Amino acid sequence: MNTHVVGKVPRLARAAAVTALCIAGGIALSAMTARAQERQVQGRVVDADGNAPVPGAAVTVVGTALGTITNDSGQFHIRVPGTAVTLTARRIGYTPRSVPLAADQAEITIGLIKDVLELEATVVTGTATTISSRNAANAVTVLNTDQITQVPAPTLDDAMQGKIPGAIIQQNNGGAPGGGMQIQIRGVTSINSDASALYVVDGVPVNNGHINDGANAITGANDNTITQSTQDNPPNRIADINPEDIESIEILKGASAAAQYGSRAGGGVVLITTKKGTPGKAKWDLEGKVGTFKPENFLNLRQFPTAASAEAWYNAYKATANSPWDPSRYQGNNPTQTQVFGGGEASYEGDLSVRGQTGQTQYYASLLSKYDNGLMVNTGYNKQGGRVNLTQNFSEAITGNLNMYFAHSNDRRGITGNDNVGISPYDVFSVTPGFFNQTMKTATGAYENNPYGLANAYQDAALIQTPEEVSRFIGGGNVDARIFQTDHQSLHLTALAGADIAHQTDDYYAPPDIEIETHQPLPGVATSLNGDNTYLNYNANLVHHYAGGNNFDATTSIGIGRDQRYFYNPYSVGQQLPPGIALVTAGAVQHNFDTTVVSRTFDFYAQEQFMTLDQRLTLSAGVTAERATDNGNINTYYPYPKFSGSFRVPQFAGFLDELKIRGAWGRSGTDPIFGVRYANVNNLTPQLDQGVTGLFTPESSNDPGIKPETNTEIETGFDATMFSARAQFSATIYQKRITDLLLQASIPASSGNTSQWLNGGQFTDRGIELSLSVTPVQMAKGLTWIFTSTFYRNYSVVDQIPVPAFSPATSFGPAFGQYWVQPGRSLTQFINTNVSCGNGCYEQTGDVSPSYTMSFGNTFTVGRFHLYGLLDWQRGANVGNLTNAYFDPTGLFLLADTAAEVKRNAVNAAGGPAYLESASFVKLREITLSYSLPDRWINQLSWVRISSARLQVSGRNLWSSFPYTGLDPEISNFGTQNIGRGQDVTPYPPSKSVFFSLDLGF
Amino acid sequence: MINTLTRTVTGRAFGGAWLRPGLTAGLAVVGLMGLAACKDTAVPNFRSPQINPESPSGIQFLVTGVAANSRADIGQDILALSGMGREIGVFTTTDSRFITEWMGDGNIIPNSDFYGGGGWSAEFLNAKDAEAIIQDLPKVTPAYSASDMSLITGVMKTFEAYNMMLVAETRDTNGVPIFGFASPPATPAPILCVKDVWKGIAAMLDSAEADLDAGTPGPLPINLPPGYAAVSAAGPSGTAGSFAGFNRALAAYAKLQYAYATTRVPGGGAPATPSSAGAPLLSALVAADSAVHATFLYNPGALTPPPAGDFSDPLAVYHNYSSTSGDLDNPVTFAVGQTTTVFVLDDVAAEIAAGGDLRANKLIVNSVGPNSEAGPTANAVAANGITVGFYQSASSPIPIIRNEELVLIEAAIQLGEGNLANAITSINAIRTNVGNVPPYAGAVTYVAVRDQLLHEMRASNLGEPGEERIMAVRNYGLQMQQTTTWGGTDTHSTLLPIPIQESGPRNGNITPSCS
Repeated sequence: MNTHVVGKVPRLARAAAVTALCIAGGIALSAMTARAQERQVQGRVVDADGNAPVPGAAVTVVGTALGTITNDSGQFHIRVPGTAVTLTARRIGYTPRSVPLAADQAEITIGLIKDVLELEATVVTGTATTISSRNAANAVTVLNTDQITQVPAPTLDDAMQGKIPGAIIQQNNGGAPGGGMQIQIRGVTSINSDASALYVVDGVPVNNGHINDGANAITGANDNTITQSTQDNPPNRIADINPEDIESIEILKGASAAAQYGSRAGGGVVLITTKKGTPGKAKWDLEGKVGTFKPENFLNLRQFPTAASAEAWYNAYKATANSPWDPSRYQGNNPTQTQVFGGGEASYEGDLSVRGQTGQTQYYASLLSKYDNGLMVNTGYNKQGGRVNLTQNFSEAITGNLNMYFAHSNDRRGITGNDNVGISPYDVFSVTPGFFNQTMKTATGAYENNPYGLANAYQDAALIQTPEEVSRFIGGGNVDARIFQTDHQSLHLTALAGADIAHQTDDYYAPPDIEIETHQPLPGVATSLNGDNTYLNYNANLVHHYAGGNNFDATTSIGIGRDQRYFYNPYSVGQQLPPGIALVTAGAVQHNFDTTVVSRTFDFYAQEQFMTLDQRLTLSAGVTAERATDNGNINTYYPYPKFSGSFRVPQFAGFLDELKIRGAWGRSGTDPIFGVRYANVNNLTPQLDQGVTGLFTPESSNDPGIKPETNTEIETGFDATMFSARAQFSATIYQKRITDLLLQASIPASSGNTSQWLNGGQFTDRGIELSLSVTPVQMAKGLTWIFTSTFYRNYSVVDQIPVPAFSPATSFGPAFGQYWVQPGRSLTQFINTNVSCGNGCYEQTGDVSPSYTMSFGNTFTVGRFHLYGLLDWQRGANVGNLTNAYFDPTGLFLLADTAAEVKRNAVNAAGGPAYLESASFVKLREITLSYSLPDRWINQLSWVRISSARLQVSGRNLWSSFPYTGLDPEISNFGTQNIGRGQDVTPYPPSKSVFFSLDLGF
Repeated sequence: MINTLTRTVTGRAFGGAWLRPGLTAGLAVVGLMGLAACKDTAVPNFRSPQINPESPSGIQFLVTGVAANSRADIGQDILALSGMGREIGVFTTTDSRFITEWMGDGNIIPNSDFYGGGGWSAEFLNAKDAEAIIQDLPKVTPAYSASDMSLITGVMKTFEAYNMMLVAETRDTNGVPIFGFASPPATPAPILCVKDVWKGIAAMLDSAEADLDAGTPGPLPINLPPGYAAVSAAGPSGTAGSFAGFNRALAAYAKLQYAYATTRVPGGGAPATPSSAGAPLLSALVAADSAVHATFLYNPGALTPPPAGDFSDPLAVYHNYSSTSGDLDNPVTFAVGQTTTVFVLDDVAAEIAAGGDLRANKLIVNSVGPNSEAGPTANAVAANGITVGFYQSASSPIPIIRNEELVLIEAAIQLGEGNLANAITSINAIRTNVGNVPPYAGAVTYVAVRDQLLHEMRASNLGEPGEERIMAVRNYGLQMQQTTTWGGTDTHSTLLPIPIQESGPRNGNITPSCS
């Protein structure tokens, strides 16, 4: 093997040696362990409140490797040592309970108390290992199915907003149907490489990327080109997942928790576990939802309630000698924004699922069909999904899981956002008074041309087609084979293989005869875009568990993993089309583009997890070594170690049930993006010059020696459970230090290159996360009130860079805030280049990142009623409002606040940041009220066997408050960006939704 | 691990002490996976053609690349320089910065991403690529002959100089690090003052000419794109078809600029004023005159009226464009009703309206009549209402330099030397042969002939790169007089800023240095 490990060879070698010793020690101990006399015990696990059986509970003998699972009736049989032992029963949703079992006791009933605050969860610690959250050494956030689905969400990202301390989840460019969001966990983790969070579904890494859809061919947003653009406003593909399929989501926030994912963990990891089959007979669930999406906010445009007001405005700003006021110009005080973005069309969703068991096979299957209406005319999102998850017990020692999901969607997102041709609706509104009725048609049935601008926004919305179709399969299978087991130890071999295969098409069409196209040099645009994304991966692991009593519990694991990603993206544009045909090949002018990206990684790892002191002290160490084809040296392994420890302090205060102190250190990385490793002379751009092909070198200089940047995280904190599990408070502080930055640093272009890829420099994220869960009221038959709150603050500072200060992302100039990477300053600062403080230093005018975020959740349950609400608060970020800059310089004063326009113009003329505004907000993210129908009502429906029924009304983003003068301060014109978010350019308006739903169990 | 019903875990290992078949199979799978993954093969760069730059075919691709990419910023150059020269107003309804920044609102153009790299980065990249070609020539297999190497070196040096000329035009007195393309980023080349910039460019062209002259006459050992068809041969600059002729044409322009640039820095000759000629460097003017007369592209006797439609002067070198996939569109067509509108300013409009001059035929008048565009905050655009397009279609070629332009250069040289009669001769060659208008009959004074020359420059070159008029306005000290349309408050930028990224490695000092 032509491989070697760089940098940390001694450390890696030590870790490997420790692991080998642990394995050897464990096996040796097993050989020394005498098998005691055993006996058979039977028992039952029940809900302490009502004695209902608790199926699927794990019952283990403390201090041994023995355990079992309860059946559908909550019953279990277990063979235990002949001495007195302690049994522990665990089930998600209940507080774990340990009970003594006397030496002569043959039967036992264990009552579990509901875990109202849902404090108990299983936390992933390795590729094939987990730990109870009560022993976890990291601040891992776990969301369960109810938290995700109790309010219908356009996509999974929406459902997670405001629920994860440490994460900023925001929409990119408004409320277009089908999604389009980004998540950033614990601050910026890379300046120039792909730092988005890794999504893993049932152990299979999946694609959450986006394919720019080619809207730029119609908008010319990117400097009047027709290529795909980051300003295309595409959705990110986690939108394909059906939230109803999700059992839980676990967020590993950084390297200290996720180093096992190597270079893919730099931006955090979102682990999604889907629902699996359960013991017992089939249980069906049918849920129907009906609702609608409406605009959350509109701009405050100038109104023209009377013809006189229109005439006055016209005479002041538009009239010329050749075009005086004509009364026929007044066509009413048209609600132009509502005409184009009114929304209100019905949306619906149907979910059918079944889970149960037949023979040795447990199954979960689901079907989804949904339609989300768009706010904009001729937009909407249609999705169908189907899932089958099978769990097969091949024998007592071998189990297998097969998880298969297929999704298909049709999305129509319309044309909004930045443009350079005058087509975006808010671009049109910036020059078109509301007394021109854009919905009016001429006698021939055509829409009226806009006498004030280049486009009729309603005509564009109605006649431009923006279909996007996605077919996607995510599948994976794993096998767990118990190679041997004794009373105190076991050895398992697990293997997993997965595939995520997605095909996307975008066939946009702007007819040549609509007004906007008649202004183009090549009227009529048709595009044909295909995007094929294939992720393939597998891993294999050996896991040895030794349970030598309460003071010695060791889990050792080793394994290998492989990940391959393939992306192929041909894209064609036809222009100057004949009427009535939407084919690229009909264009008098045709352009073709394509992109191919292939990346592969391979890793091996070893990990030791050890518990002692009555399982109060947990220590863990592990290392993953990974190589990747995107690195300069494709066969160099880069080590990603991690260490962690937690200690559950014995009770020392009456109110305090338990205090856990924890700390963790870990390192992950971020690989270079595809292409950086190729020398400039092998990275040429072809360009035709009248049929002759020329090649020139890239403006950005590559680095054949490029390597991953490293991301070293240390976190510490505590979890305090109080008042008999009625309250829990967690606090975590962390530091992420990113070194060997993958910089596409701007360099003096006079050198021949505008930027240069290199490793170097350092920045640091420091933050604090607080979360509080309280049950102030918990009455046995009455009111239960649960209050939750989170607080998150992160600050990223540039420590040093090996190049002069530079701009890390595209902006529109100092008036809108320019990004600037400069040592000693916030990594996400906005500056004004018109105000220099010397030698690459400029006045800071704002920041992309908020000062802090908070959320407040309240859940009230009274009898069969359930009321829940979540308030999301962000304070301190800034947004560059280019939308206002469409209105102001026209001198037409079509925003209602004329004084503000005048003021901005003055600030702009003086070189100030006229369009940089506060992005603080408070939003009522979610609210829901549900009512579970009484059994006696249900029983009257004798013709169907309904076991439960629930009615619900819920809303998302129903109320918000912010000082921002644009549509929504949650905005990113350039889509998913590490830093370059916070630019508002005539976006799709944000949406709010209300849904009614009926959930039936059979 | 999932279990079925109630499962009893016995103390005995399943299937004996070990699950032997499972273990064997499992370890075999793991072993195979591990072996298969011992070493990765490199992923090809799917985005780039792979060539051998040390082969004649590789050199050919790179040479064409330099020529093709020299078109990158031509559109911006035309708009910026014409706008600064107050010949046109550029308005784009979707981008306020065209009004507030480009056209000037009383402030200098801010140094932002929007402009910072414009007319700068592509030019230095081209020069760098050209220099890399020169450096690779001795390594090429099969080896080039000494003559071939010399010829290719001469061609590439000419492209280096041409690209630096494009930068110098937009940066003017802000200066240009014209040797930056040969310097490492960490220690960038000094930013030279306008005098040294043009002096350096002229020297590059002279050096290139020497290399070209050292080669054997005949076909060039490399092929240039079709726009260079008129200069695709090796041989003396006076020989029809010689690339050296193109070199000399550029040299004439550069040396003329150098002559005046010496007056625009401290210690040089007296600068021109609105009423006086100043003292441009005579030796440079003489050299410029020699260069004009050395190139076969200069031939006043061959001037003819512009044809309707695209230019097709055989004594010209062009940037060609095409709407074919992979090629570039002509960037300055501006058909009727497009988002970006080009208004000609009042004095230009008056000339067009006066009629009779056939040179106006090459402008495409899109509309005539009052317009309602708002102007910059502090200024108002007069509603002359004439909007134009510069070229017929996306496939129209744009001249780099041509006979008519060289005649204007000759007139400017003669004016600089104080030979007013000769200057008028050149002016009249154009007026009578191209414009089909009567010869100049005005006063034979410096001011009168200068103003006439400025008029001819606009009439002949509006919408073309080179932009002799803004260059002349700068040279003649006339910036603030070009305000007839924009009013007395029309303070505006007459040059683009040095990109902000040039500042850091120079410790914030981007003040140009003079020899």
